[in-house]
Amino acid sequence: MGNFINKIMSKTVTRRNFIAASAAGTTALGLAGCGSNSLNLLNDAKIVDLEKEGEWIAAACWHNCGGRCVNKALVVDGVVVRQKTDDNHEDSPDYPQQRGCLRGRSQRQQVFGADRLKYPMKRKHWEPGGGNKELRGKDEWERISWDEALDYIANELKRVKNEYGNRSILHIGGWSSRITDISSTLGLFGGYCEYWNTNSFGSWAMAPKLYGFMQQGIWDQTVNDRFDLRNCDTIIMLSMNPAWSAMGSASWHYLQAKKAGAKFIGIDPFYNESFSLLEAEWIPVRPSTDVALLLAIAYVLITKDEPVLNPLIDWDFLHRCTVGFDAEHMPEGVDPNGNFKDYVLGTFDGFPKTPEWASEICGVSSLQIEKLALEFGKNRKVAFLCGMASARSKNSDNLPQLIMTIGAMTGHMGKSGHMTGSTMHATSGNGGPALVCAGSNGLPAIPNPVDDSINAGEVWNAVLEGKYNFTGSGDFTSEDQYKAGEIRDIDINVIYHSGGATLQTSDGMAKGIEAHRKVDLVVSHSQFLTTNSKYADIVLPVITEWEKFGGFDGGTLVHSSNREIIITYSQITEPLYEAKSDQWIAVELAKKLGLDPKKAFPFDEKQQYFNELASITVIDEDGKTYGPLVTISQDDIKELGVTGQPQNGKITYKEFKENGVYQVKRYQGDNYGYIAYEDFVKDPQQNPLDTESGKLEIYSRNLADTINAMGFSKIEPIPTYIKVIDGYEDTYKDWATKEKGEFPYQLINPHYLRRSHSVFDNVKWLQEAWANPVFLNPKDAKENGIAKGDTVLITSQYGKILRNASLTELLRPGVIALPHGSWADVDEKTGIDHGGADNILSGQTPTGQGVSGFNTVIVRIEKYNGARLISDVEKPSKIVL
Amino acid sequence: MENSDNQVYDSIAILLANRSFIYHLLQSIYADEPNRELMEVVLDNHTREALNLIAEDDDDFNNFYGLLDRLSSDMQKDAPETIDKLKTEYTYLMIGPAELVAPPWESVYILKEPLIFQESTLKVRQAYLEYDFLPAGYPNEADDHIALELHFMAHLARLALEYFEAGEYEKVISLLEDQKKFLIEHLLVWISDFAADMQKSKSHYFYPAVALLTEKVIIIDEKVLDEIILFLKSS
Repeated sequence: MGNFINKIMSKTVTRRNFIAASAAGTTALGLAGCGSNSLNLLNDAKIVDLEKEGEWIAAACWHNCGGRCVNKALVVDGVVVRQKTDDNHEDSPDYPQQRGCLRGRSQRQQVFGADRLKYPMKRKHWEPGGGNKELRGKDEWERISWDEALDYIANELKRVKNEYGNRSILHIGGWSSRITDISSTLGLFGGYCEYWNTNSFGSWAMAPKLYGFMQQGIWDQTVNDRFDLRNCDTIIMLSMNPAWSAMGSASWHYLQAKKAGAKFIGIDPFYNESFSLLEAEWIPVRPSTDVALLLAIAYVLITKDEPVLNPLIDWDFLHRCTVGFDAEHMPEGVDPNGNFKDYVLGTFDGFPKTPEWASEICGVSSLQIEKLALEFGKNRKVAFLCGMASARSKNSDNLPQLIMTIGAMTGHMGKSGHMTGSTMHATSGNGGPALVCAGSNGLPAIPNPVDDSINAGEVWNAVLEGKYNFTGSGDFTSEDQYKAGEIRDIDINVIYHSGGATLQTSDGMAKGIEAHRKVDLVVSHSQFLTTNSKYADIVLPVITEWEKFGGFDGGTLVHSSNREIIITYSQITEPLYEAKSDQWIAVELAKKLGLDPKKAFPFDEKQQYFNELASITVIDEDGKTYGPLVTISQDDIKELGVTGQPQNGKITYKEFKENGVYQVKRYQGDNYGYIAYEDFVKDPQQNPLDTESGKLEIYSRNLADTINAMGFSKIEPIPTYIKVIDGYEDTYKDWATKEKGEFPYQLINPHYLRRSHSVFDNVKWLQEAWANPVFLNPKDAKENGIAKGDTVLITSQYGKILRNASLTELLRPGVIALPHGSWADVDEKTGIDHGGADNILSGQTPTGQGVSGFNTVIVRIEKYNGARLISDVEKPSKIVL
Repeated sequence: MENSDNQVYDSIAILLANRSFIYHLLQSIYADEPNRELMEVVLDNHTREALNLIAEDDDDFNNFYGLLDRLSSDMQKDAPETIDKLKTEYTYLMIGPAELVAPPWESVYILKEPLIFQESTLKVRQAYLEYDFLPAGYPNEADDHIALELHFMAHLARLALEYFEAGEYEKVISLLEDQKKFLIEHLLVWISDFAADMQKSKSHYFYPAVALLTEKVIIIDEKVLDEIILFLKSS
């Protein structure tokens, strides 16, 4: 007999009594529990068949990542066992597959992360009015029901509205407060204070449209389409790295131009992966000094131009298409001496903007500046392309205008092989109108009755100090924004994050945490304990796109997709745990607030999906006419259970859904080519631009008036050099004697393939593949006693972070590259962020058009005395509570 | 030897009842936030008796008994405060919202990555389906949560007892073999890693000790199963 049986036989336990006691205990347990985490006996287990083959379903890949790709999941009963990308057709340069990147291929790691938020949670010491506010970010948590969560929120919103009014509710929904479903609910509730940010657009946000540097009404359209890139002799890339920031086919398009013979030149502090791929010549410019460099290029062009022997400037272009270049082409009523050419030559200020002058600021040798200037010469086919990173700098409002000016001076606009302008994200290297246009879900727009909107660069200060500079309503695309500034009192009592990662991605995170610890209530919708949620009181778990009925991505160009595709996706799995859609929350919260949700959401999410599906349009082969994309039958409508009419398009609903994408097939000589400014440049009189003068304005009164009235900082109507706050000059204690200051290094935040901004940062695969060090030039490291792999303490006037050092000659000395978007992990004892969050180091200083200056940060570096930072992937628990 | 045989059968019945109780107890502890009713069962003397029956050495569970003593005294001093403390620790270790030090799902330990709803989860679902069980939270909740796997063991343990009481020994053998298979293929694969990770908790009031207890119980239960199966097969 075995040990256990023997042991019992040796004891005086009776079978009947013991079994009865065990049963009683089990029954008591049954009474104690509420059925969570329990198994149910099925009446019919056949409802689940795990033997059947998995099904490939088109899956969403929806992030603000720089690409827009096809993603598919092999699904077995809600579990994703494989993923793949576009295999709908053969891949070719002309008709490329829409292939996913490492992040998209890790999508299931994110959706099914064990750290998904599963239940509504409340901070333990929160109570109406705020409770112990200081504990935000370090408090314990309690699981609460949806009903409790919505009651808490609704009651607090009502109380705050009664006591302080609607404008004391700061609602942040990511890049715009107006775009989330909660915006509608809060709009019906009487409104909310908005948050606005120039985001990735920096000083491209508003300015270009004022001086004519915008086509089709949106960004990136002053650049020709991808087939025309292959006609360029020289492609000059300023502040761009599509290999990291525009995944998808962008780099491949540039590579075709390379294969066709184009020479590449890269201007950036970092000799990045794109430059490496394209074997670009490197112009290692310092951060936030592009204006000085380009002014010197203008100087060289003006002084070296000789119309017959050395034609560099396209005088005919300047004469016909621009105002403000020289005294002869100034707008009426302004002092002719204020023209650009005389400014560059120093005619009136006695200060020529020579390469020698620029070199001292931008760090590029004067010889290299002169050589670079000649590359722009008018007789070469040149694409002058830029990302917007260097415009995410303080005091950079005149940079886009200067880029335009250089392009105009050299006539690189409006012709095949010539182009100038921004090109980034999903539209990088591929200008032109959308060939497939997104549909509309048909929901009514609910206005916000409150006009307050606080700029990201001062939002946390405004919460803490009760004052801000009101410059108009809405986000950075709003018609009502960029008005004359007006200092207003504001008393924020609720911060409601219905989306985005704003505490993480706005300038001045340390201040932001302080602001979050001041108000009465912080609510955050999220899928994980993001930084927004970590410092919140009530956290609401929301579903990912994989848990929704379906949807679409693309068809609106800017950040949505390239012009040739629209993506569609379907539900992959059921909502995880108690996660709900943002819209469900908006509807239920509306009910709790005593509002009628039908006013904002008159029909359900499936009908919204159908409306959007049915209203997608696509271009005809003639390159002109648009018609419906999707063929929808009566059966489709019946199966979907929606209201609608059958229609004929270019692809059946079934096929569209299966493919996960519709892509316009392109080929050399098709009718979809695009040359920006073509009509304008041919005949500016007949095709004027939407500016005061109808021309490209190198002198823009409108620009200067608009920005100067806003009241953040001043600029001139022509592009001029402005000393940058926290720029290179500020790394010196005394610029004249070149005595270095307390923060001698400039720090930039390159986008990093581990993440899409802050999204995916919790995915272990990506943490392992992309370790997220801080990049240092070996010279700077050596001067500070830092060796490869050492933990570096980086200090700015606003905060401190830790990262391990990666030494590289690819980064120019004096510049530190800290990858953008890492989640904060602040040690409450020391105040040092172990996560390496970029915005811990940045401050709240809005300039110009309200630009967020992510790339103008100055710091000092030192070897950290404490314990070496363990790698992110090895952290047992990323978030220290 | 009839008397002795009877004694053996009585002992097996006791062991089977005991397994059922212990698995139900552990499932309840992991399944949800603690409440007073649950703690009454946990702290009842029957829990010690139950554990004593399977202790291989007399002091196997001494640490846990010490913990029960402390909890009893805490409950007597201030029950609401104690329950609150337990709830806080439960939330921190089993719910979140921060990343958990020991996510309580099998897939995390199979893959050695903090992921749920993986292929291994389907295998667990399949094991449940063979006995017509599905998680109450299906398909929104992952099948391989520790409470669900323990509940499966608890259900099968109870079924085994019922068949044993009814004298249907073939069915008992088959049930016990399936339970052993489930232990080997699932719980035993990850329980030690889980228990070890639970010790990384910043708080050590109750649940980290429960994880160690669970590990020990499961390791012992495999031996108990072996013993009963061997006896029933040979008689």
